[in-house]
Amino acid sequence: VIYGGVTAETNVDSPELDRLYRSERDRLRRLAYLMTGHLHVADEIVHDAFVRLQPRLAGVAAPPAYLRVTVVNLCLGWRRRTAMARERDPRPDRAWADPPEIDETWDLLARLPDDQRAVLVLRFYEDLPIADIAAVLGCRPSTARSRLHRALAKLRKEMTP
Amino acid sequence: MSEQVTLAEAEDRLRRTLARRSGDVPPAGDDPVPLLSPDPDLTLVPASPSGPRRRRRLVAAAAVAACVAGAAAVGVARAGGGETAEIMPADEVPATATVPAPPLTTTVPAPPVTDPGAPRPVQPLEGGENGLDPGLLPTLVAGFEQPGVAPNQEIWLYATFYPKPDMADVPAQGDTREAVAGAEVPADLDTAGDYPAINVWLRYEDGVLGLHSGMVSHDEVLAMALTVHRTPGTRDFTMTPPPGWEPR
Repeated sequence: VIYGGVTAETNVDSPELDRLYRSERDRLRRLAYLMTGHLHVADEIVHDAFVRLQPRLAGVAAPPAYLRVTVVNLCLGWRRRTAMARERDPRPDRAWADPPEIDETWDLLARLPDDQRAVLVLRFYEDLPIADIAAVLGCRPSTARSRLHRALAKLRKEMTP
Repeated sequence: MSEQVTLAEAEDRLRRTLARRSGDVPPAGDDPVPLLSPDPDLTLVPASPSGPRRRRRLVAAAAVAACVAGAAAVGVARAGGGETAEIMPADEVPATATVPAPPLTTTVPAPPVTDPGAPRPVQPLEGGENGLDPGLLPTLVAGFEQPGVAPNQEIWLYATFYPKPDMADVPAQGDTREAVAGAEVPADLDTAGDYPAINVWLRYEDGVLGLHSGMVSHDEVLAMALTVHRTPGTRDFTMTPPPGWEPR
């Protein structure tokens, strides 16, 4: 069982939670940031995901996968609830400038519908195959595939000079 | 007339954009896990972009951590029924601890029936706030690949178990229903779709196993369905893929 299968209950092991937190947090923060466009929201969501996992940790067979699903759900829920999701944080200060096409693509990504943005991030950042994306999003593989195709088609159209 | 960006170019730009932008997230540092809070309000409310709740959670976690004099190493010993727990200091309290570590008794909230953030089985993108426990998630139980063929292209073969509440998402009956002699599951095998995309559903008391395939022949998928064996009382399945396919 790969995603969140329930095993025989054992005691919650806090060192295990701590290890999980240290190993998974940054990866999940990047995922949440790419889905929401907000650093502070990403931090909040990852925090909440761990809080939600804590009482269930003993019964979750694959905590990293469970956390990923929780983060994706929280990101989608946040975007549904918040008009702010359409805006983005000011660009962080940094020593380099991105090529124009990177900025343009980031803007296009922000304008996509939530479900399409999610499937693109899971496919092209997390490198998940369609079957895994479907499991994360709780939809049929065919649905995930069609969302991916629609999102890519939309991006291509918008990218066209 | 402008020329449309090719699919490969679009995918490449997208990968580079996501990789670059993920670099906007600075490392979080080496903080211990700031999660252990006795306040159920801090664990069950939905995510919010505002900061006060996070600060409250951190303050509460810091208080607990101070009490146990070992913030990162705290054991939670469940008491009867899972309703009450005693937060105990870990076996190995740092030698430099100056604060005694009295045990705290608190109440650990039972897992909520509905949790808007928890993984849920039914269309989380379109459904309501109907979070369910992880045992109700569709689970990928097996995936196969052909050596030399890139996965996730036009050829695929995998099996997913859909627990019972998720069966609403599975067609009550496929395009065809075939009684196949020799199948471990005495029920019919539902097949949906035509080559090149064929789904075969094996129905169990507690859910449905879907065999999803692309560019695999109808006979091959059905033959694989006949080899499915489920360990009783579990969600562990074994199956034999068609010749040339290997577990990935």
